[in-house]
Amino acid sequence: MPQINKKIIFLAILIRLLVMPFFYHPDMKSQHFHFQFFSKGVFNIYEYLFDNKSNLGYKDTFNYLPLTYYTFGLTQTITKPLLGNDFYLWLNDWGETRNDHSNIIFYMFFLKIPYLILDIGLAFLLLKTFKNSKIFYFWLFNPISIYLIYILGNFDILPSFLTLLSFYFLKKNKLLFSYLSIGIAIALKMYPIIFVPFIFFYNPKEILKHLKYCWFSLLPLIITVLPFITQTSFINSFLGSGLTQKILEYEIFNIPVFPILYLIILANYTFSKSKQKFEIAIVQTFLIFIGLVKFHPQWIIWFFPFIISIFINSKKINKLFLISFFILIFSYIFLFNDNFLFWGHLTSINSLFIELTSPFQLIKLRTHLDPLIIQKNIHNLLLFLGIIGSISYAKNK
Amino acid sequence: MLKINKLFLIIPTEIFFIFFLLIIMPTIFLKEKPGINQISFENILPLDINHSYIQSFISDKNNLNSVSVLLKNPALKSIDMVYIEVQNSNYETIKSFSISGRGIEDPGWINFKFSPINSKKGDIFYLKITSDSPKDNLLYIYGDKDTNNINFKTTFTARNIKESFEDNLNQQINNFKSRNIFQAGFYLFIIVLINLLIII
Repeated sequence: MPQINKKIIFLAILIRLLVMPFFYHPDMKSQHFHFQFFSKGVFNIYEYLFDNKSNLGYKDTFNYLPLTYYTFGLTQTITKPLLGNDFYLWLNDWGETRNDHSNIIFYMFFLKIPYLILDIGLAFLLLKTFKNSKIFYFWLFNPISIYLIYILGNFDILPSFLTLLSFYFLKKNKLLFSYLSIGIAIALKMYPIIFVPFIFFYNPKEILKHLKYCWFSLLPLIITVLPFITQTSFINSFLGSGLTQKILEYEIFNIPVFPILYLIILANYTFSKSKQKFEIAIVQTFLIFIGLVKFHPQWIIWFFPFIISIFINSKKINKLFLISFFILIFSYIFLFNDNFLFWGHLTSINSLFIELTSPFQLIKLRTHLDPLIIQKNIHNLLLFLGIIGSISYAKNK
Repeated sequence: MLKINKLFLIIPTEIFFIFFLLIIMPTIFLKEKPGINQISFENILPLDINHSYIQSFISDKNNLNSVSVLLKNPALKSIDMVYIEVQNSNYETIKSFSISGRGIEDPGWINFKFSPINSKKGDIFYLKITSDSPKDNLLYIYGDKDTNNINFKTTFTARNIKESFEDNLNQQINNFKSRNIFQAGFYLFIIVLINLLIII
């Protein structure tokens, strides 16, 4: 493994410690609102929310899988002594002052500590997997991963870590661990299921061996979901998440486009002999996913560790392409009619930031342009560039 | 000559970063500041031709620039007018505003924003709410039935960067005082520790 300067790791941690408290997204509050019930002994969150809907300040259902609830319910319980009792007052305040508590900065800090551990762990995992210190340093110091993990503050870093761990085991030919890792990731959030076929066809000569172990990728999901599968409250909550609908939304002649392009990428991947075929296929999937799906910014983290590995080893022109692609992605994100994706991130510093004019409102108020049309055009451009980029990567394999 | 470790530069950089986030950013972008926030009354009081309300308040900041009141238009039926006046200590109307029942929700805050009044902290104001509604069951205001005090909010605005800077600095100092000492200490301890690990 390449030598790493410890001081640089501490510097990366310091940057994260300085960012963690001061940036906020309301999803973090709503998720932890649900996680709090774990420490109160609630094991069936779906039924509990359904039964107590009228008494709760926040009425939305819990749209994640049971393992997510148990994992983050447990981490919240462990962090409880640091969070203090005021934390629960804030968590249950959904009135006028819901984003206006002076200790929010510390809640953000403590709640993001598990993400910090996973983030630094992911950096080391990248180092172990790719044995390239440039990838390691790039992960630690690029602003995008800091934005995705600490500003959006979503727990997707955990399934991302497990997905990379799965790839690490795959490269080591430890198939059982590879499928188990991705299996746990799937039990936390469904999206890593799109990576499973790439694991399965990684080495087509060993397909029988893969056939023996691939079932482990579904085992954690089956075990954790089975107790809830017949409950209407669970089914209704889980169907509310909507990723499947979003993937199938973009159609040509009533045929959903994403699955077709995904299958083409998979076929190309299966017969590829490139040493980087897995990473390239993930980047290709990312490029078409962004163009075809009305994505939430936090979903970028699913692909980001693999994008970095490709970015570092790319030629200048390919680097420029990916940089331009990300500039467009951020233009698209900032044009959402949701100020919590712009000024609202600074709510923990001063709750009045949410009242400031968002880029969406600014365009609407100051110009004759429709920000929704601009955003749609950017999305179309992303689709065009995504397809071109995906073809280009397929040719360069 | 004394050789300074370049890594020491991270300390002023960190201080600048925090100062930029907590003070400079709000100074530049947040000109308007919340003032009085009287929002605890849950009773609805009739608002009609025979029921009007005068709420006094002492401004806690300079330059008043908006008042908000919480009104209720049940089932959005009423289209009667509501008049809001801001009066000075001599009961002279200095700002006035009217809204039709069409613009009142069930319930909803009605925000009356105006160019900042050249007022000082400690000045007395009166907020007068009247309506031409002929019946006492069409429009309501949230308040206390014993004292006739009403739910209302005010905002103030800084006239220049210096004032805005001072406001933000004071606000951050007040926030710091009201924060949990244990949590602040823990955070600072971790920051200092990581700094030491980098520098030494």
